[in-house]
Amino acid sequence: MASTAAERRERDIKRRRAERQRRKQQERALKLLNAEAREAARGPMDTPLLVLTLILQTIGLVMLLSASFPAAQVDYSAPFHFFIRQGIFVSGGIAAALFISKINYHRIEGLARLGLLVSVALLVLVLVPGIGLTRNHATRWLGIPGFEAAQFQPSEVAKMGIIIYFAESISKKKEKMKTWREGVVPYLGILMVVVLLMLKEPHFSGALLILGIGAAMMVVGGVHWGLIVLGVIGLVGGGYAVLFTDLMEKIGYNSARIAVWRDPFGGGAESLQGVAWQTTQSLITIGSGGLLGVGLGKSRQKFMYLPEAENDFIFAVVFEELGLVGATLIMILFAMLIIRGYWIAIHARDRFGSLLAVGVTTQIALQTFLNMAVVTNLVPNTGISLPFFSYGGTALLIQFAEIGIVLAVSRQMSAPISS
Amino acid sequence: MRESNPPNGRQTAGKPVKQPKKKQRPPDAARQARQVIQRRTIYLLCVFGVLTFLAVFGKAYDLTINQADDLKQRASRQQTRSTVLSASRGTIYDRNGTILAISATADTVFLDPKAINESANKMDIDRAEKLKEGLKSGETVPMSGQEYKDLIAEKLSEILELEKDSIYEKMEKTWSQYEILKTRVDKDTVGDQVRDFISHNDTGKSIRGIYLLSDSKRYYPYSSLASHVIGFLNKENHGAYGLEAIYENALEGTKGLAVTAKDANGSELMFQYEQYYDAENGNSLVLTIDSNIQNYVERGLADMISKYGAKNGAMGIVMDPRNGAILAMASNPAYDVNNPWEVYESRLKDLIGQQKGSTAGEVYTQGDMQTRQWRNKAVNDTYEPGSTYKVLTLAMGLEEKTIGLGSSFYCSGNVTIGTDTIWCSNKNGHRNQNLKQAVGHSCNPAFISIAQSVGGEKYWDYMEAFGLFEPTGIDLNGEAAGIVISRDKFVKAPVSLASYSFGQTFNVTPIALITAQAACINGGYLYTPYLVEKELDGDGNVVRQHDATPVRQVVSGETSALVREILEYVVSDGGGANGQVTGYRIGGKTGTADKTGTGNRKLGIQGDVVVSFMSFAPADDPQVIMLLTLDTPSRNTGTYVSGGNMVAPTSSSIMSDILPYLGISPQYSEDTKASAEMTVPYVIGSTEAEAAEKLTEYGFSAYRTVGDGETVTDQTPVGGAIIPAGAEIILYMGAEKSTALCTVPNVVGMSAADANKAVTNAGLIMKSTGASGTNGVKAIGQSMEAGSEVAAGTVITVQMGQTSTTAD
Repeated sequence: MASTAAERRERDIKRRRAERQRRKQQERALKLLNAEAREAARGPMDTPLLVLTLILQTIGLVMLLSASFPAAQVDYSAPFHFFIRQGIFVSGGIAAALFISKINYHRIEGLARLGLLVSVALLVLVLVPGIGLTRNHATRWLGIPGFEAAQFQPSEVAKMGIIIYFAESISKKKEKMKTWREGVVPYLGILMVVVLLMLKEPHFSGALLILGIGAAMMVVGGVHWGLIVLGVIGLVGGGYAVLFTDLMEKIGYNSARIAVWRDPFGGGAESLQGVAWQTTQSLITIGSGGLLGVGLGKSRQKFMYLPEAENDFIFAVVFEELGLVGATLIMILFAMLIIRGYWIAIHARDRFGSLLAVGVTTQIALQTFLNMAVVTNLVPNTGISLPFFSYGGTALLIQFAEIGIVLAVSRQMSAPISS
Repeated sequence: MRESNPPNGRQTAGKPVKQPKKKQRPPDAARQARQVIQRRTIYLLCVFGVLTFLAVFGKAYDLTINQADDLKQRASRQQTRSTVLSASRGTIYDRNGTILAISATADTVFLDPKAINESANKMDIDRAEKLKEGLKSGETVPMSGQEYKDLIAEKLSEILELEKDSIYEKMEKTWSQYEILKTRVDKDTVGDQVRDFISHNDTGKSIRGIYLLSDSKRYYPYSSLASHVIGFLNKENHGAYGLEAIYENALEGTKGLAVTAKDANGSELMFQYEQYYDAENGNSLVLTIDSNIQNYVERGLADMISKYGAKNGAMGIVMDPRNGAILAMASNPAYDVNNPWEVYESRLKDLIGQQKGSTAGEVYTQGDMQTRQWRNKAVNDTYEPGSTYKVLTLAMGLEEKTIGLGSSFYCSGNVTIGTDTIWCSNKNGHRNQNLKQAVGHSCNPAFISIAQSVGGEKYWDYMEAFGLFEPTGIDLNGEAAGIVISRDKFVKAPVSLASYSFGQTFNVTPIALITAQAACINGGYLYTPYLVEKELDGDGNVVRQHDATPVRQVVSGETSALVREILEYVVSDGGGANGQVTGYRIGGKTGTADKTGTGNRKLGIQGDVVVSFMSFAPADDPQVIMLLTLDTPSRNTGTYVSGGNMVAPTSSSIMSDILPYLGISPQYSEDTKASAEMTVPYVIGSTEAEAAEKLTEYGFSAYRTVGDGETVTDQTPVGGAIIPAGAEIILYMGAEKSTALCTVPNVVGMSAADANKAVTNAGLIMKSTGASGTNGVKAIGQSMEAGSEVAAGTVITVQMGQTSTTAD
């Protein structure tokens, strides 16, 4: 079966032509896609989300100034120390959010795998002796030693990495998410790796947060409902066992945090020096505010009684100064922000966008809830910061970046049918 | 805005471009997946947008509303520092402004172990950093935390005289912020040393965690003087006893409070949060007590006890009968108010550990002796008053006019009342006597008949009117009331009336008795005795002035005048002669009271007695009344056990101090002129004639010369000396004045004339005091001990008195 050279050449030419044609078609398609995407990304960003963010951030800055100046005075002899630094990060954060909101979020789709790898790599890196920076017995930071502005937490990056990767990966799976092999195993595996690395730092609250975000995205992504029921049962049962039974003591794990959570003032004067100090002081601070608060700036508990008044426990100062009424108003603003985030997720143009918005919103929601729950001793003390309120550069930048992503998703929302 | 999007973009915008060739495939899977996402996102929205916030709100509501009070309390407890601003306790002055009790500021030193521990930890950290950086030249290794604690312990133990270990122990309580190291140290010495150490020490900084708190300490400049009246404070600086206790509210003042906010490090907060409640200093008391008179009385009591012993101590009250003001109130045994818990008198100290009562094994303890020395016998204890009480029976009879100066009494030596026979102290009987003589004899049958003439019911009413059944209301705690039988029993029992008439078988307190006696001689008015004349506030304004309105008039002025006249007779011519003070008109009454139940006449057992003497002066216009008692004197001193023999001489001696001190001038009769005190004129350089003239002019009649010069070259006593007018002045006419000391002779037991001769022969000058007259009056005491050597011309006071048995 010989074939002539001419035949072969002709086939070649045909194939090349077809190839060229296909390439051209593809190029055209890509161009069209890009154009459409650009067109889509040129829509208006979601104003309510932006405004809510800015309102919360403004209140957060005012409260930070109030809560932080005693500590700033004592530690740095400069009452505005924390306020000025936070202010700089806020400006940077807003700029970053606006910039990111302009980007077509599909561009980061391709970066998902890389992002996850970098996140894991950083989490490993921080554990390498001599590289990770240690504060308060936890090795959570990377960056230039002694220069806090140039340090960041890999776990913050990992949160972003997980959100983007999960969104990208889950959005492609559709009904396959219902299967065990496709919908559960890979994600649980990734979460396990990340969580174990973070527990090694240790960064319990960060690990908890990532687990929560991951689980939420899996649930939304479409895992089998039976699994969700199982998960909820497991969560409730496990939580009950840890908090309300002596399970932890039985397995030889003496958790002072749980004991303090159960009875914060029960330890007597001596134990108040230790773990209970934060919790009891936080409760005293909140109780001092009563219904209407002692007035903005007039907290007495921030004068070295309440630890981390500018950080994890800033919301206690909100309670003391603005009372239940003021704090509730702020909680409503947070709730509105979160609801708006999920609203954007529901109305997003595609599954990837939805899942991105769900991930980001869940992260802000979980962090807000856990912080407030710790401050009010609703859950045991885990050490978690309040978005837009607590002092901290990287966290703030990443929060704004995330808001930027949600804003970017909002720009591509389709117009409401009514219009 | 959104017209660029297709109207059904939701369905088509999903993947139309990505897979353009599969357009015909229905996007069921994609749509389903999207619907799942949307549905499930709504669940998340409900959980994280609503439920979680409701949970937090619920918890926050509980904290800010339900638990707010508790939490706010905890907050203010840790945030505020309240400093007590102590009020200065009022001063106690006597009537002349002499300070009897005063508070001075003292410091209480305390530690803040928490702050010290924090400083020490910080020093350790700084030190480690410094060592890591390396020392620069000239720098020394910084102090370590332990060295810092050592320094504090070392220095404080030295300043406060404490064990170092105890300081370490307190420093280890690092959760505490208040550990007292030492209370009430002197502010100017110890307190200042601590302050100096805090600010200047080896650390180069001032030490945080050592604090001083101002407090006050009570000082009693006269230690045991008027101890029972003044009282003392307990360890908490509150009045525990005496005036300090009963006037606690007035003296204490109101403590102030300063509440300031502090941060967790204990520093004051930047903003103003301060509340002050000013301290109000206590009021000062001005007493009626005159510390000089008090001193005379206490000396007199001590003197009596040393002479005659007194198993149960002695008591003395001096009162102004015109208003009830107590000029002196002394009780013996006494104690040192500065240290009330220590047994003060050695005779009480000796008792500790000795057997108590008849129960074997039970011994006197320190506590027993404390109670005993704190007891104010003038107010807390009652006694059977005995014959000094007869003054009241006398006044009743005179007031009821059942007797008069002309009444006569017959005493056979005893009286029979029903089945009881009551004896007079003179068992042979005083026979016929008029009223003055009967009182002078202290004749029991005479007083029984006086009481009978008044009648039981009236008699009882008088006793009540004299205030004998109730506490007098003097401003001291623990005043006892009189102990009497009921009115019904009294009225039905003539023997009670009989025994009451001479002050037996019932009990009264000395203060109640002297109050009633004062009423008998002051015109008939019963006053409430009192110790505090006025209260002054911090600026010296009078806040309260005692109102000396009499409670009631018990007897008339005429009756009172008669009582005075009769009682003056008792001292000048009756059984109270030893109470006489030369140059003064003294009224008085002796008393020797049997303690019912302690003796048995038939068995020949002599019971315990309380001997006493009441006197007042001047007899025509009493300005001072005094009652002295001596409880259970010894029967083995050689002195007859009676008020007249044992107490009256001391009374005379005390009165001879009090009366001139009160500015009451003596008036000398012909008999007593020699005892009048005159100032010796300066006569050196004059001739004998000139000197004699000058001496006469100054009231001296006797002189003798030594040597034969023309002019006086020296004199004994020197010019300006005050001596009795009867004394002999020696003028040296050129002869050398003898510098040899003279030996004091023993004159006790001599008559006045013999004693004077003996003293003068010894080259000394005698001043006689006490009883006058020649009938049985002998020297019973002298102011200087026999055998002692003194300069020529020294005045020796000789106490004259009846040594014969004086019936009370």
